[in-house]
Amino acid sequence: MSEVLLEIKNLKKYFEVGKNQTLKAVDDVSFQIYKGETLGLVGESGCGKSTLGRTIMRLYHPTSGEVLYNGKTISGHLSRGEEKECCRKMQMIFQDPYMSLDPRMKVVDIVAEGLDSQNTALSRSEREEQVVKLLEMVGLQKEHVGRFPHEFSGGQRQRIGIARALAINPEFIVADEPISALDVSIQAQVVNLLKKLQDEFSLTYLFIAHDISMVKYISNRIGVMYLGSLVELTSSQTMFDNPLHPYTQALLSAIPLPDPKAEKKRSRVVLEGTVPSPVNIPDGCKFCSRCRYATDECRKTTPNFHEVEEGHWVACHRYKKP
Amino acid sequence: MQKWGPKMSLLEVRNLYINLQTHDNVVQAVRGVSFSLEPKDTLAIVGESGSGKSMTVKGVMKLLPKSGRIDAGQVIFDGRDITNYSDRQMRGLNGSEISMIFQDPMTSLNPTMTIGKQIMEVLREHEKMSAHAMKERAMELLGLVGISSPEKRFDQYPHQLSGGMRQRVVIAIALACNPKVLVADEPTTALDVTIQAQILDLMKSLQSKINTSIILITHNLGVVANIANKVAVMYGGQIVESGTVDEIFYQTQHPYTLGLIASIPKIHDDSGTLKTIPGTPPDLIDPPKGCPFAPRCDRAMKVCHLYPPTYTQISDTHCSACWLQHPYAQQAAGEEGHHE
Repeated sequence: MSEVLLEIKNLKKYFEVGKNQTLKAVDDVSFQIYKGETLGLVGESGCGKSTLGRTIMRLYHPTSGEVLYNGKTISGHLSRGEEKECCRKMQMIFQDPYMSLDPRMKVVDIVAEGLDSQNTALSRSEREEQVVKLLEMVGLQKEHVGRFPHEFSGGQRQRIGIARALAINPEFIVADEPISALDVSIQAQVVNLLKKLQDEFSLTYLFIAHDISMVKYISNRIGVMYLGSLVELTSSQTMFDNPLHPYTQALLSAIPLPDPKAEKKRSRVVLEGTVPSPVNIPDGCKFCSRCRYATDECRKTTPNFHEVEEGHWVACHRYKKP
Repeated sequence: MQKWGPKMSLLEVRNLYINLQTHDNVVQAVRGVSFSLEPKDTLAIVGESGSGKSMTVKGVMKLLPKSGRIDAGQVIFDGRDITNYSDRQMRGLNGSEISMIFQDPMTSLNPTMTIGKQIMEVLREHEKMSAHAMKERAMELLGLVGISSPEKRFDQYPHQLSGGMRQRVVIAIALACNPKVLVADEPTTALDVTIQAQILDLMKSLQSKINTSIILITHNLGVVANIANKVAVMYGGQIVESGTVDEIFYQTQHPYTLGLIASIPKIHDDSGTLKTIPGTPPDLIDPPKGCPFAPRCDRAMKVCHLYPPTYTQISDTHCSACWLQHPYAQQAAGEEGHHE
């Protein structure tokens, strides 16, 4: 569990959005992902969690910083061979199962696309056999291979997306909001499937979502992002028992619980205002405009992301290094 | 079928059937829905996509798409049968006595009109007011929904506002004429959790201020627990269970409701795997003959596949459409002894 699979070092991804305006989508983020774990990444829309996932997947070139996979740098320019190797090990599951599948391709071709590109030189029947095996693994049937995406429901399409990601035996999967487009009863099915596959193939997940209760269910550790920065990172149990960052506290108390009696008794930390624009953020703590505890120090200096107790990282001036 | 009080209800829907004509099929979107709404009620209609929850309220509001029509049933609002109201007659009601909030605040506002004008538009349609009084009322409404510095916002356009702010404006428009019923179709689904909490708090405080009844459509049971006092669970175009919020959450009867509650992860509980409902919702072009949930139900009996279940009254307010709750089923279980 303690073996580091992926290390993200001071990763930054800025977008130029006009004259002298920079959108800092990911701003100096560092963390590690251990082998075999699920790291959940939560935050409100626009906080940069998807950009982070995509930058790790090499879909964006980082502005600066590094991504290390098994100790080897995989960000920036790679040779063709290295790139192919990298793609084989990391795969992605996308949010919208309606848009991430080519409507003109048959399921068999969608799932086998990875196999083809890794030119594992399969005969036609071997290829189909492989696909059927993958489909059965994700809970679809043999008959489905010749069908087109529009013949499937949302949950089934997401299963096809998962089968496609698994086709080339990856070690690491980035799941970018894989369940938010699905209905509640289908969400649970897909999450359970992801968990089962993780046990079977000892996969490592980066699970990006905004539904914190579902993230808690699947993740070993959770990272909370706000305006491009990680503000807290700890085990999912600690995150719910002892959240330290004021933003995490507010986020947790904002989730409505499916329990009317508890809901009536609950006291909320209601955040005033909305997330400020990520373009040209002023100095200091990014959360200070909405924070109840904000002091002058918070407005002047940016807090470091540091470990306050073992495995519990926070970026807040209230928790100083001992 | 459901009696929620002896008096005449504010809004009563009786045995509503809505069909949608598609290219070559007929989708039976709503199949015999009945409910009633009393003053100051917050009724949550819960269900998955395609369960007919949106179509039900669109039928009530006469906002059905061109392909849709009410095939049978009655909608009675405030003692008037509005089932066959013309568009013109409905326009007198919509906005003034029944208002609606839509899911996406980005698309339900006019991008070419200032916020203030959009609020005044409703007032101009329904109230006899001077221009000055209208402006004042619009400012008052903006303040009421928690928008700071209304004078500044009054002349701004929707794109200058954040999602949460826009939803507040939509609420202000909906409440401009103090409607008796506010229909909110997934009002917080497009918003972030922290903003969702703000909007829910706002809706609750406004309801107590101006005594509006709310029909809330949602798929989020957390939101239901937070705001509703009555719940109707829809599945396959029918209400499968309805009751007070406590009855639905703590004395759940219908297997679908049970499955729905079990499939949400509990924050303060770590019990192994999540329960799931296998399978997918029914196709309403050719709905199942018996209970719509029977193909996915782990407790389905022979009768469930053959005959649609009747409603069983569990208490005055609580009823469930499941053969398991039928008096004969209880009797049979009693005779056969304990099987479980």
